[in-house]
Amino acid sequence: MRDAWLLTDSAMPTVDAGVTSPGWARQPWPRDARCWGTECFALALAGMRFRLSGLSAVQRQALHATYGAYVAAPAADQAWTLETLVLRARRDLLRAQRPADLAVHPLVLARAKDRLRIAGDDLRAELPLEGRAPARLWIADELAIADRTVSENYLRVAAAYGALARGGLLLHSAGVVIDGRAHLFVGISGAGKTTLARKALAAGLAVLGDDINAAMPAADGWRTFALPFAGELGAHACAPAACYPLASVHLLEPFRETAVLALAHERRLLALIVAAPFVNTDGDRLAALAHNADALARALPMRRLRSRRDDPFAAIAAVLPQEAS
Amino acid sequence: MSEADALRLHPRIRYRAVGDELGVLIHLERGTVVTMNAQAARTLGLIAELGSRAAVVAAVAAEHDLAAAQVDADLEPFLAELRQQEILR
Repeated sequence: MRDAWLLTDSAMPTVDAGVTSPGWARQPWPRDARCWGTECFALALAGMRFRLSGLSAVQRQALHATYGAYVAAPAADQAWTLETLVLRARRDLLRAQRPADLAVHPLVLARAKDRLRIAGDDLRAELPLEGRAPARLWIADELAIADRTVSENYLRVAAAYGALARGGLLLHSAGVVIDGRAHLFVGISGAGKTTLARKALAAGLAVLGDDINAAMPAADGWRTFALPFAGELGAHACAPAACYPLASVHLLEPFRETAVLALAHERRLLALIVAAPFVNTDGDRLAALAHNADALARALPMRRLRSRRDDPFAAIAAVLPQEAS
Repeated sequence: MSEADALRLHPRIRYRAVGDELGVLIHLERGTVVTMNAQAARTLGLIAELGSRAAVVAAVAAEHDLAAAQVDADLEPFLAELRQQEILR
């Protein structure tokens, strides 16, 4: 039975944060409970609500200017909501507790009991992983909330954990809409997501995003959502707050010729897990991650797309199987 | 159990069965994901549970009704790959 044991492995991208610093989680942490004001701002991301409260009027206006296309409707529906209190922190405190890993990663994550601690250069946050307690986000400057390295970095992590808990996945991917249905092209940094998205835009197609899109289960199949998380293409080049039925997922690989190849189930799982930012470095989320990736890989056509850098999107569309063209 | 017989998984790995056919492993220190077939996932579980090469070989031999010596020889490339990927310490 020499060939009975089979392993397939892949490295995860290192550009994201990882739950990598268990020691750092025990360091001192901001304790300030003072809000910036009494305003709030709610975003709808991938069918979830993210409500930031304790804002000053200036902060609310700044968030509206940045995320206006994603303003959530009043909470009359039953959508899951993550409440986040935005709190004040002293700048020297944030800098004094700077994890060493921030020299390598834009964010550092660490588990602390039932919470996830998030650190960036200008933010600290605590995300509850159980129960209904509000999350807390500390910033030192009032307008830092409008800085994408603060609000976007925080929301990326919160959305990744929220999607996972709801049976879905955030995926490093380019999302392209063809004939009213979305197709995700997953790949790590450098795989060609932005290049493909540019080609799709040049071909007159709607692009959901060139960096991170959400795949969420729904009663009628899987759906994908544009998110306000800008890649190299920039947020304004993409379709804001859009939602489409998800038709297929392709693993994107740069190659000398354009072709579509079959992908075995274990490689589908591998590709989806590698492409799921943040949660794929949290060992306590592996069961949910494997479950959701397995469900998505079984529900939709998923193949390997080799794409030549110079080919226009028409050449790619020509090799996509029927459900993708 | 001798030191040579001991099989110890790296403390920073997490793994899960996915249905009856696959397993998935995350190596939190190396930043790698590994998928594996059912036999590999089952054997990883035996390593975690039994911690001894002789015991793992005996269990696999019993499950497949094979001679222990044959299983021991066949298992070696798999263990070598686990060591190479630092899944085994």
